[in-house]
Amino acid sequence: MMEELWSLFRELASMKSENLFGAAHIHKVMLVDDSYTARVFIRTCFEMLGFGELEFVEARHGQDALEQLKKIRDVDLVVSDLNMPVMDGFELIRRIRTSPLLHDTRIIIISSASREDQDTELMKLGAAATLKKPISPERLMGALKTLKEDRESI
Amino acid sequence: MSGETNLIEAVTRGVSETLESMFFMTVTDCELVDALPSGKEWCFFMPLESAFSRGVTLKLPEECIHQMADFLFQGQEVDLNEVAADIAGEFLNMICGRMMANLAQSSGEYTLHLVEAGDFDPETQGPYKVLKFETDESRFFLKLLLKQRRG
Repeated sequence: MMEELWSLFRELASMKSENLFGAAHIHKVMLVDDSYTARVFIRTCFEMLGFGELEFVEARHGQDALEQLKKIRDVDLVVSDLNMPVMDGFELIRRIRTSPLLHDTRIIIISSASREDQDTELMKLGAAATLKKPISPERLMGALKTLKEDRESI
Repeated sequence: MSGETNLIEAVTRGVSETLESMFFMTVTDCELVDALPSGKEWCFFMPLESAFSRGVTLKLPEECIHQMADFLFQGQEVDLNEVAADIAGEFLNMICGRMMANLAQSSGEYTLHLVEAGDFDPETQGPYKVLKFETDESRFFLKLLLKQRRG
């Protein structure tokens, strides 16, 4: 029953989101979260939206993400948690924005504790969108549309 | 409404929102009880700095975590024993995040810390409230450590 529901949801979402990623030029996504469960859940949301064909790479915290980003180089979108050990989401955005190699990487921040002033600070630092946990496919779709519109306005 | 009532309503909503979004599970019943169960169950603690609460403890049986894992990792090969603590930790993290977001108007500044896991019941000193949640197939408990009232 659940499988059928998911399948139907994927199909509907896929119809709604046709060409979204093509327009936003996103092919490779990095998921950054110290929780394996959270990474799986975010990836599942992408898949439920019909974006299972995207390539995903994963990192456990900001430092891990930075090291991988410098090696991989062609990550189009970083979807990161805020509250993580070793290096949090704030520091990760700062480092990405000040890196000559990575400064134009698009970033979506997902956090458990999201206040309005915190969201404002994240956007000032250069986050393309912020989402509150637990995310849903619909909320993720809203953030992805923002990326597409940003791209189209360039 | 008192801060305590607001807190209980906020956490109850937070649990429902998290269960439905992440695991397609529904809360069928929720009640205040005297204490956490004494049996050996998984236990997690989220230290909190906020106007109303000092932290939240989640206590749940292994089968409840396995039920969540079955839904989240369906069709994937995962060692449930390896991911069980991660699932419950993230569940508590999200509950606390939703609870504070639901309290947004009155909660002021707050900070969530990283979830601590272990077979323990931390910080039993001071006031607290315990909530028992029932779902279709399982049940779990949340203990809200309340801020000490002055005077």
